[in-house]
Amino acid sequence: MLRAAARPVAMVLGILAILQFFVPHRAGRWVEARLVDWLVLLEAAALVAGVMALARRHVVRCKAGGSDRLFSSLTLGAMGITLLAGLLPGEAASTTFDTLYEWVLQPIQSTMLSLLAFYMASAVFRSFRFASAPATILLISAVTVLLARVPMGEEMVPRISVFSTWIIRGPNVAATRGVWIGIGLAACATAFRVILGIQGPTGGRRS
Amino acid sequence: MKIDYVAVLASLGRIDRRILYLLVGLAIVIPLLAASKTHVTPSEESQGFHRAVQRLGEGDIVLLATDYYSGTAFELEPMMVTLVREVFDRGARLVAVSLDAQGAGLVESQLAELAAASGKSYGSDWVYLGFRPSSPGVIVSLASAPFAVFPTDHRGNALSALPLTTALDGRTDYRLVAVIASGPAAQDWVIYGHGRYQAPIIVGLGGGIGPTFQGFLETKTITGLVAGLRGAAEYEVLAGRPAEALRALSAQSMAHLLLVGLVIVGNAAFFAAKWLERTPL
Repeated sequence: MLRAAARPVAMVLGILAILQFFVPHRAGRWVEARLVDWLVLLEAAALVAGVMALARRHVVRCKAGGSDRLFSSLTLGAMGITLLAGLLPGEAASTTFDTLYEWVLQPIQSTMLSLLAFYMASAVFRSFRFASAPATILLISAVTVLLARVPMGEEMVPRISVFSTWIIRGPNVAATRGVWIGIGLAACATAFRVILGIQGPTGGRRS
Repeated sequence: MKIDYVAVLASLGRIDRRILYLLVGLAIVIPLLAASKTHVTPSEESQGFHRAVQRLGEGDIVLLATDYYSGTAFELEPMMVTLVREVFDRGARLVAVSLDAQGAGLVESQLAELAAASGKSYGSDWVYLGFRPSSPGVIVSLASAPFAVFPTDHRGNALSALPLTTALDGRTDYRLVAVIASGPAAQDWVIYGHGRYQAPIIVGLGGGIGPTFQGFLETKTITGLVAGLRGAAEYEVLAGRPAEALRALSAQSMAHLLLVGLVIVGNAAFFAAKWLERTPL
Protein backbone atom coordinates (compact mmCIF):
# COMPACT_ATOMS: atom_id res chain seq x y z
CA MET A 1 0.00 0.00 0.00
CA LEU A 2 2.69 2.48 1.11
CA ARG A 3 4.97 1.39 -1.73
CA ALA A 4 2.15 1.96 -4.22
CA ALA A 5 1.50 5.43 -2.80
CA ALA A 6 5.17 6.39 -3.14
CA ARG A 7 5.00 6.58 -6.94
CA PRO A 8 2.22 9.23 -7.27
CA VAL A 9 3.69 11.21 -4.33
CA ALA A 10 7.09 11.28 -6.04
CA MET A 11 5.46 12.32 -9.35
CA VAL A 12 3.54 15.23 -7.81
CA LEU A 13 6.46 16.46 -5.70
CA GLY A 14 8.87 16.13 -8.62
CA ILE A 15 6.61 18.23 -10.87
CA LEU A 16 6.20 20.82 -8.09
CA ALA A 17 9.96 20.96 -7.58
CA ILE A 18 10.49 21.72 -11.27
CA LEU A 19 7.59 24.18 -11.56
CA GLN A 20 8.75 26.33 -8.66
CA PHE A 21 11.88 27.22 -10.65
CA PHE A 22 9.67 28.88 -13.30
CA VAL A 23 7.23 30.65 -10.96
CA PRO A 24 8.71 33.97 -9.80
CA HIS A 25 5.76 34.38 -7.42
CA ARG A 26 6.09 34.05 -3.66
CA ALA A 27 3.96 30.91 -3.96
CA GLY A 28 6.92 29.33 -5.80
CA ARG A 29 9.27 30.21 -2.96
CA TRP A 30 6.75 28.88 -0.45
CA VAL A 31 6.66 25.54 -2.29
CA GLU A 32 10.47 25.45 -2.43
CA ALA A 33 10.74 26.17 1.31
CA ARG A 34 8.26 23.40 2.20
CA LEU A 35 9.99 20.88 -0.07
CA VAL A 36 13.37 21.73 1.45
CA ASP A 37 11.94 21.39 4.98
CA TRP A 38 10.71 17.92 4.08
CA LEU A 39 14.01 17.01 2.46
CA VAL A 40 15.89 17.82 5.67
CA LEU A 41 13.29 15.97 7.77
CA LEU A 42 13.46 12.90 5.54
CA GLU A 43 17.26 12.77 5.70
CA ALA A 44 17.12 13.09 9.49
CA ALA A 45 14.64 10.20 9.58
CA ALA A 46 16.94 8.24 7.25
CA LEU A 47 19.78 8.72 9.73
CA VAL A 48 17.65 7.24 12.52
CA ALA A 49 16.64 4.36 10.24
CA GLY A 50 20.31 3.80 9.42
CA VAL A 51 21.29 3.63 13.09
CA MET A 52 18.46 1.16 13.76
CA ALA A 53 19.48 -1.02 10.81
CA LEU A 54 23.10 -1.01 11.99
CA ALA A 55 22.08 -1.97 15.54
CA ARG A 56 19.81 -4.74 14.28
CA ARG A 57 22.53 -6.17 12.07
CA HIS A 58 24.99 -6.34 14.95
CA VAL A 59 22.42 -7.84 17.33
CA VAL A 60 21.85 -10.60 14.76
CA ARG A 61 25.61 -11.19 14.48
CA CYS A 62 25.96 -11.32 18.28
CA LYS A 63 23.20 -13.90 18.48
CA ALA A 64 24.71 -15.97 15.67
CA GLY A 65 28.07 -16.18 17.45
CA GLY A 66 31.27 -16.72 15.49
CA SER A 67 34.46 -14.72 15.23
CA ASP A 68 32.70 -11.38 14.57
CA ARG A 69 30.74 -11.56 17.81
CA LEU A 70 33.36 -9.58 19.77
CA PHE A 71 33.45 -6.72 17.24
CA SER A 72 29.66 -6.57 17.02
CA SER A 73 29.43 -6.46 20.84
CA LEU A 74 31.96 -3.63 20.91
CA THR A 75 29.99 -1.70 18.28
CA LEU A 76 26.73 -2.13 20.20
CA GLY A 77 28.43 -1.21 23.48
CA ALA A 78 29.93 1.95 21.97
CA MET A 79 26.57 2.92 20.47
CA GLY A 80 24.83 2.37 23.82
CA ILE A 81 27.41 4.35 25.83
CA THR A 82 27.30 7.28 23.36
CA LEU A 83 23.50 7.26 23.41
CA LEU A 84 23.45 7.27 27.24
CA ALA A 85 26.03 10.09 27.32
CA GLY A 86 23.77 12.14 25.07
CA LEU A 87 20.71 11.47 27.24
CA LEU A 88 22.33 12.57 30.53
CA PRO A 89 20.59 15.61 32.03
CA GLY A 90 21.94 19.17 31.77
CA GLU A 91 25.65 19.98 31.58
CA ALA A 92 26.64 16.36 32.26
CA ALA A 93 25.42 15.37 28.79
CA SER A 94 27.59 17.83 26.86
CA THR A 95 30.62 17.21 29.11
CA THR A 96 30.48 13.41 28.82
CA PHE A 97 29.62 13.54 25.14
CA ASP A 98 32.46 15.99 24.42
CA THR A 99 34.91 13.79 26.35
CA LEU A 100 33.91 10.74 24.32
CA TYR A 101 34.12 12.76 21.11
CA GLU A 102 37.49 14.32 21.87
CA TRP A 103 39.27 11.36 23.45
CA VAL A 104 37.73 8.37 21.67
CA LEU A 105 36.12 9.25 18.33
CA GLN A 106 38.65 11.83 17.13
CA PRO A 107 41.77 9.67 17.77
CA ILE A 108 40.07 6.65 16.18
CA GLN A 109 39.12 8.58 13.05
CA SER A 110 42.57 10.16 12.75
CA THR A 111 44.25 6.78 13.19
CA MET A 112 42.03 5.12 10.60
CA LEU A 113 42.86 7.71 7.96
CA SER A 114 46.56 7.78 8.86
CA LEU A 115 46.76 4.04 8.22
CA LEU A 116 46.03 4.79 4.56
CA ALA A 117 49.55 6.21 4.16
CA PHE A 118 51.06 2.87 5.22
CA TYR A 119 48.79 0.76 3.02
CA MET A 120 49.33 3.14 0.12
CA ALA A 121 53.12 2.75 0.40
CA SER A 122 52.79 -1.04 0.38
CA ALA A 123 50.36 -0.98 -2.57
CA VAL A 124 52.55 1.42 -4.56
CA PHE A 125 55.59 -0.81 -4.04
CA ARG A 126 53.86 -4.05 -5.02
CA SER A 127 51.33 -3.03 -7.66
CA PHE A 128 52.23 0.23 -9.44
CA ARG A 129 54.02 -1.17 -12.50
CA PHE A 130 55.03 -0.09 -16.01
CA ALA A 131 53.01 -3.10 -17.11
CA SER A 132 51.07 -1.60 -20.05
CA ALA A 133 50.73 1.69 -21.94
CA PRO A 134 47.75 2.99 -19.90
CA ALA A 135 49.45 1.91 -16.64
CA THR A 136 52.63 3.71 -17.70
CA ILE A 137 50.73 6.93 -18.50
CA LEU A 138 48.98 6.71 -15.12
CA LEU A 139 52.24 6.05 -13.33
CA ILE A 140 54.12 8.93 -14.97
CA SER A 141 51.22 11.30 -14.24
CA ALA A 142 51.01 10.17 -10.62
CA VAL A 143 54.75 10.51 -10.02
CA THR A 144 54.81 13.95 -11.67
CA VAL A 145 51.93 15.26 -9.55
CA LEU A 146 53.36 13.63 -6.39
CA LEU A 147 56.69 15.39 -6.93
CA ALA A 148 55.23 18.72 -8.00
CA ARG A 149 52.90 18.95 -5.00
CA VAL A 150 55.77 19.13 -2.51
CA PRO A 151 58.57 21.72 -2.28
CA MET A 152 61.36 19.10 -2.17
CA GLY A 153 60.11 17.57 -5.42
CA GLU A 154 60.08 20.98 -7.11
CA GLU A 155 63.65 21.58 -5.97
CA MET A 156 64.83 18.17 -7.18
CA VAL A 157 63.15 18.40 -10.61
CA PRO A 158 63.04 22.04 -11.74
CA ARG A 159 59.98 23.07 -13.78
CA ILE A 160 58.15 19.84 -12.96
CA SER A 161 55.27 22.00 -11.71
CA VAL A 162 54.72 23.23 -15.30
CA PHE A 163 54.04 19.65 -16.45
CA SER A 164 52.01 18.91 -13.31
CA THR A 165 49.85 22.02 -13.83
CA TRP A 166 49.26 20.97 -17.44
CA ILE A 167 48.14 17.49 -16.26
CA ILE A 168 45.74 18.99 -13.69
CA ARG A 169 44.35 21.74 -15.95
CA GLY A 170 44.29 19.73 -19.17
CA PRO A 171 43.59 16.01 -19.12
CA ASN A 172 42.28 16.09 -15.55
CA VAL A 173 39.72 18.84 -16.24
CA ALA A 174 38.67 17.17 -19.50
CA ALA A 175 38.07 13.86 -17.72
CA THR A 176 36.37 15.47 -14.73
CA ARG A 177 34.04 17.50 -16.96
CA GLY A 178 33.08 14.33 -18.79
CA VAL A 179 32.28 12.64 -15.49
CA TRP A 180 30.26 15.65 -14.27
CA ILE A 181 28.27 15.86 -17.50
CA GLY A 182 27.61 12.12 -17.31
CA ILE A 183 26.45 12.39 -13.70
CA GLY A 184 24.20 15.32 -14.59
CA LEU A 185 22.59 13.56 -17.53
CA ALA A 186 22.10 10.37 -15.52
CA ALA A 187 20.53 12.31 -12.64
CA CYS A 188 18.15 14.10 -15.06
CA ALA A 189 17.22 10.81 -16.73
CA THR A 190 16.51 9.13 -13.38
CA ALA A 191 14.50 12.13 -12.17
CA PHE A 192 12.37 12.10 -15.36
CA ARG A 193 11.77 8.36 -15.02
CA VAL A 194 10.46 8.91 -11.48
CA ILE A 195 8.39 11.99 -12.43
CA LEU A 196 6.84 10.25 -15.44
CA GLY A 197 6.07 7.15 -13.37
CA ILE A 198 8.33 4.83 -15.39
CA GLN A 199 10.37 4.05 -12.30
CA GLY A 200 9.31 4.07 -8.66
CA PRO A 201 11.21 6.25 -6.16
CA THR A 202 12.28 3.10 -4.32
CA GLY A 203 13.79 1.59 -7.50
CA GLY A 204 12.65 -1.04 -9.97
CA ARG A 205 10.58 -0.84 -13.14
CA ARG A 206 6.81 -0.75 -13.25
CA SER A 207 5.59 -4.29 -13.83
CA MET B 1 82.82 -13.85 -4.70
CA LYS B 2 80.75 -12.49 -7.57
CA ILE B 3 77.58 -10.66 -6.56
CA ASP B 4 74.54 -11.17 -8.77
CA TYR B 5 73.13 -7.64 -8.72
CA VAL B 6 70.05 -8.61 -10.71
CA ALA B 7 69.18 -11.29 -8.15
CA VAL B 8 69.69 -8.80 -5.32
CA LEU B 9 67.43 -6.31 -7.09
CA ALA B 10 64.80 -8.99 -7.69
CA SER B 11 64.90 -10.00 -4.02
CA LEU B 12 63.92 -6.44 -3.05
CA GLY B 13 60.47 -7.22 -4.43
CA ARG B 14 59.95 -9.68 -1.57
CA ILE B 15 60.77 -7.13 1.13
CA ASP B 16 58.64 -7.46 4.27
CA ARG B 17 55.80 -4.94 4.34
CA ARG B 18 56.67 -4.06 7.95
CA ILE B 19 59.92 -2.53 6.68
CA LEU B 20 57.89 -0.38 4.29
CA TYR B 21 55.64 0.69 7.17
CA LEU B 22 58.72 1.59 9.22
CA LEU B 23 60.11 3.67 6.36
CA VAL B 24 56.81 5.54 6.02
CA GLY B 25 56.72 6.17 9.77
CA LEU B 26 60.28 7.50 9.78
CA ALA B 27 59.68 9.64 6.68
CA ILE B 28 56.82 11.36 8.45
CA VAL B 29 58.06 11.55 12.04
CA ILE B 30 61.66 12.73 11.47
CA PRO B 31 60.79 15.94 9.52
CA LEU B 32 58.07 16.76 12.07
CA LEU B 33 60.54 16.37 14.96
CA ALA B 34 63.27 18.22 13.10
CA ALA B 35 60.81 21.08 12.41
CA SER B 36 62.57 21.76 9.12
CA LYS B 37 61.61 24.92 7.24
CA THR B 38 59.93 24.73 3.87
CA HIS B 39 59.43 27.31 1.16
CA VAL B 40 56.34 27.31 -1.07
CA THR B 41 55.33 29.49 -3.99
CA PRO B 42 51.58 30.20 -3.90
CA SER B 43 49.61 29.02 -6.93
CA GLU B 44 47.02 31.06 -8.86
CA GLU B 45 44.24 29.05 -7.19
CA SER B 46 45.42 29.93 -3.68
CA GLN B 47 45.90 33.56 -4.67
CA GLY B 48 42.27 33.66 -5.85
CA PHE B 49 41.18 32.26 -2.48
CA HIS B 50 43.23 34.87 -0.62
CA ARG B 51 42.10 37.76 -2.83
CA ALA B 52 38.44 36.93 -2.12
CA VAL B 53 39.09 37.19 1.63
CA GLN B 54 41.11 40.40 1.15
CA ARG B 55 38.09 42.05 -0.48
CA LEU B 56 36.08 41.75 2.76
CA GLY B 57 35.40 44.94 4.65
CA GLU B 58 34.36 45.93 8.15
CA GLY B 59 31.04 44.34 9.11
CA ASP B 60 30.74 42.08 6.02
CA ILE B 61 29.23 38.67 6.71
CA VAL B 62 30.95 35.44 5.64
CA LEU B 63 29.11 32.14 5.45
CA LEU B 64 31.63 29.47 6.46
CA ALA B 65 30.84 25.80 5.84
CA THR B 66 33.14 23.46 7.72
CA ASP B 67 32.30 20.04 6.37
CA TYR B 68 35.10 17.82 7.63
CA TYR B 69 35.82 15.44 10.48
CA SER B 70 38.88 14.64 12.57
CA GLY B 71 40.24 12.10 10.05
CA THR B 72 40.71 14.83 7.45
CA ALA B 73 41.27 17.73 9.87
CA PHE B 74 45.03 17.44 9.41
CA GLU B 75 44.74 19.05 5.95
CA LEU B 76 41.65 21.17 6.41
CA GLU B 77 41.92 22.62 9.91
CA PRO B 78 44.99 24.78 9.10
CA MET B 79 43.12 26.46 6.20
CA MET B 80 40.05 26.99 8.37
CA VAL B 81 42.15 28.52 11.16
CA THR B 82 43.97 30.90 8.79
CA LEU B 83 40.72 31.86 7.09
CA VAL B 84 38.88 32.63 10.34
CA ARG B 85 41.81 34.68 11.67
CA GLU B 86 41.95 36.69 8.46
CA VAL B 87 38.17 37.25 8.45
CA PHE B 88 38.20 38.49 12.05
CA ASP B 89 41.25 40.67 11.42
CA ARG B 90 39.41 42.42 8.61
CA GLY B 91 36.51 43.18 10.95
CA ALA B 92 34.18 40.87 9.05
CA ARG B 93 31.62 38.67 10.79
CA LEU B 94 31.07 34.95 10.52
CA VAL B 95 28.11 32.61 10.26
CA ALA B 96 29.43 29.04 10.43
CA VAL B 97 27.60 25.82 9.64
CA SER B 98 28.59 22.17 9.46
CA LEU B 99 27.14 19.58 7.11
CA ASP B 100 29.25 16.77 8.56
CA ALA B 101 27.78 15.33 11.74
CA GLN B 102 31.15 14.06 12.91
CA GLY B 103 32.82 17.43 12.48
CA ALA B 104 30.27 19.61 14.26
CA GLY B 105 31.85 19.24 17.70
CA LEU B 106 35.33 19.66 16.32
CA VAL B 107 34.63 23.06 14.81
CA GLU B 108 32.75 24.81 17.58
CA SER B 109 35.51 24.72 20.19
CA GLN B 110 38.05 25.85 17.59
CA LEU B 111 35.90 28.77 16.45
CA ALA B 112 35.36 29.79 20.10
CA GLU B 113 39.13 29.80 20.70
CA LEU B 114 39.85 31.82 17.53
CA ALA B 115 37.09 34.32 18.31
CA ALA B 116 38.31 34.75 21.89
CA ALA B 117 41.87 35.35 20.64
CA SER B 118 40.57 38.05 18.27
CA GLY B 119 38.35 39.62 20.93
CA LYS B 120 35.14 38.76 19.06
CA SER B 121 31.91 38.13 20.88
CA TYR B 122 29.41 35.39 20.18
CA GLY B 123 26.11 36.48 18.68
CA SER B 124 27.26 39.80 17.25
CA ASP B 125 30.57 38.89 15.56
CA TRP B 126 30.12 35.19 14.97
CA VAL B 127 27.47 32.49 15.20
CA TYR B 128 27.79 28.74 14.86
CA LEU B 129 24.62 27.13 13.54
CA GLY B 130 25.79 23.53 14.03
CA PHE B 131 24.82 20.49 11.98
CA ARG B 132 21.73 19.53 10.02
CA PRO B 133 21.40 16.53 7.68
CA SER B 134 20.79 16.88 3.94
CA SER B 135 23.43 19.14 2.46
CA PRO B 136 21.34 20.21 -0.61
CA GLY B 137 18.38 21.02 1.62
CA VAL B 138 20.44 23.05 4.08
CA ILE B 139 22.31 24.93 1.32
CA VAL B 140 19.07 25.90 -0.43
CA SER B 141 17.32 26.75 2.80
CA LEU B 142 20.14 28.89 4.20
CA ALA B 143 19.89 31.05 1.08
CA SER B 144 16.15 31.58 1.29
CA ALA B 145 14.92 31.10 4.84
CA PRO B 146 17.75 30.49 7.35
CA PHE B 147 15.40 30.21 10.32
CA ALA B 148 13.41 27.37 8.77
CA VAL B 149 16.18 24.80 9.07
CA PHE B 150 18.03 26.52 11.92
CA PRO B 151 15.50 28.05 14.32
CA THR B 152 18.28 27.89 16.94
CA ASP B 153 22.07 27.84 16.81
CA HIS B 154 24.36 25.06 18.07
CA ARG B 155 24.07 26.40 21.63
CA GLY B 156 20.27 26.54 21.59
CA ASN B 157 19.92 30.34 21.17
CA ALA B 158 17.09 31.49 18.91
CA LEU B 159 18.60 32.95 15.72
CA SER B 160 15.95 35.66 15.76
CA ALA B 161 17.38 36.84 19.10
CA LEU B 162 21.04 37.11 18.06
CA PRO B 163 22.18 40.51 16.71
CA LEU B 164 24.08 38.98 13.77
CA THR B 165 21.28 36.77 12.51
CA THR B 166 18.13 38.56 13.55
CA ALA B 167 17.61 40.29 10.18
CA LEU B 168 19.80 38.03 8.06
CA ASP B 169 18.78 37.52 4.44
CA GLY B 170 20.71 34.51 3.24
CA ARG B 171 20.41 35.42 -0.42
CA THR B 172 21.87 38.92 -0.29
CA ASP B 173 23.64 39.52 3.02
CA TYR B 174 26.67 37.27 2.65
CA ARG B 175 29.70 38.86 1.01
CA LEU B 176 31.57 35.56 0.74
CA VAL B 177 30.74 31.85 0.95
CA ALA B 178 33.76 29.86 2.15
CA VAL B 179 33.57 26.07 2.05
CA ILE B 180 36.17 23.93 3.82
CA ALA B 181 35.19 20.36 3.06
CA SER B 182 36.54 16.87 2.78
CA GLY B 183 33.70 15.12 1.04
CA PRO B 184 30.73 15.42 -1.32
CA ALA B 185 29.27 18.39 0.57
CA ALA B 186 31.75 20.63 -1.28
CA GLN B 187 30.19 19.64 -4.60
CA ASP B 188 26.72 20.36 -3.20
CA TRP B 189 27.82 23.86 -2.18
CA VAL B 190 28.98 24.54 -5.73
CA ILE B 191 25.98 22.93 -7.46
CA TYR B 192 23.21 24.30 -5.22
CA GLY B 193 24.93 27.39 -3.82
CA HIS B 194 26.25 29.00 -7.01
CA GLY B 195 23.75 31.61 -8.20
CA ARG B 196 21.55 31.14 -5.17
CA TYR B 197 23.91 33.17 -2.97
CA GLN B 198 24.82 36.56 -4.40
CA ALA B 199 28.40 36.11 -3.19
CA PRO B 200 31.57 34.52 -4.55
CA ILE B 201 32.34 30.97 -3.43
CA ILE B 202 35.81 29.90 -2.35
CA VAL B 203 36.64 26.29 -1.58
CA GLY B 204 39.24 24.52 0.59
CA LEU B 205 39.50 20.78 -0.04
CA GLY B 206 41.48 17.67 0.79
CA GLY B 207 44.38 16.99 -1.58
CA GLY B 208 42.62 13.94 -3.05
CA ILE B 209 39.56 15.74 -4.43
CA GLY B 210 41.19 19.10 -5.13
CA PRO B 211 41.89 18.43 -8.83
CA THR B 212 38.24 17.53 -9.48
CA PHE B 213 37.31 21.17 -8.72
CA GLN B 214 39.75 22.66 -11.23
CA GLY B 215 36.99 22.88 -13.85
CA PHE B 216 34.79 24.97 -11.53
CA LEU B 217 37.69 27.37 -11.13
CA GLU B 218 38.19 27.76 -14.86
CA THR B 219 34.49 28.49 -15.43
CA LYS B 220 34.65 30.99 -12.53
CA THR B 221 31.94 29.07 -10.66
CA ILE B 222 34.32 29.34 -7.71
CA THR B 223 36.81 32.17 -7.31
CA GLY B 224 39.49 30.46 -5.25
CA LEU B 225 40.69 26.99 -4.36
CA VAL B 226 43.15 25.70 -1.79
CA ALA B 227 43.70 21.96 -1.95
CA GLY B 228 45.45 19.71 0.54
CA LEU B 229 48.24 20.52 2.90
CA ARG B 230 50.16 22.24 0.10
CA GLY B 231 47.21 24.58 -0.54
CA ALA B 232 46.87 25.27 3.17
CA ALA B 233 50.59 26.11 3.39
CA GLU B 234 50.31 28.41 0.36
CA TYR B 235 47.39 30.20 1.98
CA GLU B 236 49.33 30.58 5.23
CA VAL B 237 52.18 32.20 3.28
CA LEU B 238 49.78 34.55 1.45
CA ALA B 239 48.07 35.52 4.70
CA GLY B 240 51.47 36.13 6.30
CA ARG B 241 50.77 33.56 9.02
CA PRO B 242 53.13 30.60 8.59
CA ALA B 243 51.79 27.92 10.92
CA GLU B 244 50.79 24.27 11.12
CA ALA B 245 50.44 23.49 7.40
CA LEU B 246 53.84 24.90 6.47
CA ARG B 247 55.48 22.91 9.29
CA ALA B 248 53.73 19.68 8.27
CA LEU B 249 54.57 20.13 4.59
CA SER B 250 58.14 18.94 5.12
CA ALA B 251 56.76 15.61 6.42
CA GLN B 252 54.50 15.36 3.39
CA SER B 253 57.47 16.15 1.14
CA MET B 254 59.42 13.24 2.57
CA ALA B 255 56.42 10.90 2.34
CA HIS B 256 55.89 11.81 -1.34
CA LEU B 257 59.58 11.32 -2.13
CA LEU B 258 59.48 7.95 -0.38
CA LEU B 259 56.47 6.91 -2.49
CA VAL B 260 58.29 7.91 -5.68
CA GLY B 261 61.34 5.98 -4.49
CA LEU B 262 59.18 2.92 -3.78
CA VAL B 263 57.67 3.11 -7.28
CA ILE B 264 61.16 3.11 -8.81
CA VAL B 265 62.54 0.32 -6.58
CA GLY B 266 59.34 -1.75 -6.92
CA ASN B 267 59.49 -1.56 -10.72
CA ALA B 268 63.24 -2.31 -10.80
CA ALA B 269 62.65 -5.39 -8.64
CA PHE B 270 59.71 -6.46 -10.81
CA PHE B 271 61.66 -6.25 -14.09
CA ALA B 272 64.76 -7.84 -12.51
CA ALA B 273 62.62 -10.81 -11.41
CA LYS B 274 61.13 -11.09 -14.92
CA TRP B 275 64.60 -10.95 -16.49
CA LEU B 276 65.80 -13.75 -14.19
CA GLU B 277 62.77 -15.88 -15.14
CA ARG B 278 63.54 -15.52 -18.86
CA THR B 279 67.28 -15.96 -18.63
CA PRO B 280 68.42 -19.60 -18.62
CA LEU B 281 70.87 -20.48 -15.81
